[in-house]
Amino acid sequence: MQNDTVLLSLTIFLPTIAAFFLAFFREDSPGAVSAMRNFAAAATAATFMLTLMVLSKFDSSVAGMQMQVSHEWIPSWNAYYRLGVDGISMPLVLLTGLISFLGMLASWSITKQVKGYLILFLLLETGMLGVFLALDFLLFYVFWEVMLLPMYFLIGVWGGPRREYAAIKFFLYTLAGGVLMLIAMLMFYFNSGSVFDLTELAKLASNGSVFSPTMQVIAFVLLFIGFAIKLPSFPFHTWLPDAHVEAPTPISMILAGVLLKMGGYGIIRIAMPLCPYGAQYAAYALVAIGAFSIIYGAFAALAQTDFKRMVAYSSVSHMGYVLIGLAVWKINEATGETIGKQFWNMGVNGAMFQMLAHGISSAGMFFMVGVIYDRVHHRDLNKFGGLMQKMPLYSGLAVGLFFAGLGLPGLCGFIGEVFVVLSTWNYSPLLAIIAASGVILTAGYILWTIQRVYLGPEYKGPHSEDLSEMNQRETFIAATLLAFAILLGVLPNTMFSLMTPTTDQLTTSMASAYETLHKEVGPVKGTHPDNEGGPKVSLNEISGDH
Amino acid sequence: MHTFLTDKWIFDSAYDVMFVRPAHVVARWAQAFDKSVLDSLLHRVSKSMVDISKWDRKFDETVVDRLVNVVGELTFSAGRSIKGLQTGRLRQYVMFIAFGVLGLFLALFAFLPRG
Repeated sequence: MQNDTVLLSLTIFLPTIAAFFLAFFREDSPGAVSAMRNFAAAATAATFMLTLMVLSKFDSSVAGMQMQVSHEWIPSWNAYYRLGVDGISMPLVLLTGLISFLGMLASWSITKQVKGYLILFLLLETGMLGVFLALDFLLFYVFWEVMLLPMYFLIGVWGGPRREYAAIKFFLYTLAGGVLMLIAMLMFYFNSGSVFDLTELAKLASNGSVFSPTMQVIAFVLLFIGFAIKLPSFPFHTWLPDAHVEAPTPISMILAGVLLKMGGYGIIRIAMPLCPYGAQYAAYALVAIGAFSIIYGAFAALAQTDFKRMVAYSSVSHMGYVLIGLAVWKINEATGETIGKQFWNMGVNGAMFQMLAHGISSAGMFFMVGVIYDRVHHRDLNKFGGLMQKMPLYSGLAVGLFFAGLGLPGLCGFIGEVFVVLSTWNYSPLLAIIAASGVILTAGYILWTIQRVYLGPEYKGPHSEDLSEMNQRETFIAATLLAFAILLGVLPNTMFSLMTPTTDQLTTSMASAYETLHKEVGPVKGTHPDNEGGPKVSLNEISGDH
Repeated sequence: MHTFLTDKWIFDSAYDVMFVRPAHVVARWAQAFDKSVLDSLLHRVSKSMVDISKWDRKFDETVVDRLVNVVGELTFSAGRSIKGLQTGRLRQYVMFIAFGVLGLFLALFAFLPRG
């Protein structure tokens, strides 16, 4: 137990400790900037090593929480310092460690106020790892909010021309989502008799008298909006293009690679286990929103002339697959029994895999945009062309990473998409067709972008004399990401083996919890007051007066 | 007919008109929707927040602060009007003392119980 506490806590807090020591570096000495960068890179590398150590101790055949840590934190509120890792958080922890390390390596392009940047970056990494490892709702919420402030400064100080607007839009929008999550957290806390423990709340979820179905629906809606803002899902996605365009390259990599996954992780860790009735009630809406996000994001990406904005909208589109995969829960309306549970499992696994795959491919795409932006200082898609001639290695790796984003079979993006679309057919063939047609649009905008940027005879845009080939550091980052994209595309079981037992257990427990509640409530007939079935709104159930 | 055959049975231009151009049109709609509906909603919300806060400041300064200032002004004006009593004329002060003592004795005899 001691070892687990130390290992998991160190994984979360090592970046903060490194940030603390970074504060003592003197910025005025000549080698200072390079020393600070190397120190921070070493810190992120060490954190990545720690996540690998967690992986080595992880037993992928066990479905439940492993390496659980539980210490008193605020005893009078029943808030404990609970950490733990299971099949859902393990791959995401690895992803965070990897992308943070690569993002730190990409931060060599930051030249002003380097110390502040590195400290904020490391604090951000702590927040991210804390979110994935926390098992106490209050702790989760604290780490969730910890991520916001460094991001605000990182975008607002080191960003592009409209950085203040983008930073405050990001901050207030995600904070508003966090407040909705806070309201739901308090609903759970007061209804359950002061419980913050996520595993215990999940167990209580099948008890209809503790969390009434009405309360579950309301809580699920609140939580879903909060997490859909982060995912991002239509219509809560408008902060993303601005934040991504204005953020510096490494921050875009972290934002797309890890922060967006928090939305999906929140839904799968909190919204669904704690409100199974709400999740089923809203299932069709979620799948529909996800399908619409895919199409909408793809069309919007097609219309962009800014390279980075195009990649940002592609993120909106790809996260739609995650949302669909999580929500394809089909039940028999009469008995509440889940139909075709193996398809729901496929969907959840596909959604989880899509999160990982998108983390790698999106971070790669943003990095490639950053490489060319560092040289020519513009992102206008119509002014590119012929980069393959001048920068062949860069173009080759970029094309590989963009194909991963496209979902080419053999690369990581394909696996997630195909599993999600296959699982949707069981749920709703219409939405499956809509989701599948998103693939055509994705191929359209990505291939058109590749054509406009990398192919063609000659580069006619500004600063053509600055087109130098990638240096070793940049090549390392791009090659690593492409290697992982290929590895995950060819051997997806490396990730599936980690997550399948846990996702199986999750869907089983949610299905049985729902069946219990369904029998209490009766089939959902809508909100007509004369129906004896369906939840009835009652303020008592919301405020927890029993 | 010759053009039709040489132009690859106008498949390319057919594809362009049937698929490529509509896709671009819808793409522009999506982008415009984002900017003029969703974002403008956000901007309108934020502008109304700023307006509410400006009204709040005005309310604070004109209503709440005014109450505080009125209390202060009342105190001052009360002090100013009582200032009139201080004439500086000693004989007037002695007369007031004498009348005051007389009045107190009368009151004492009027209200004390006999016995």
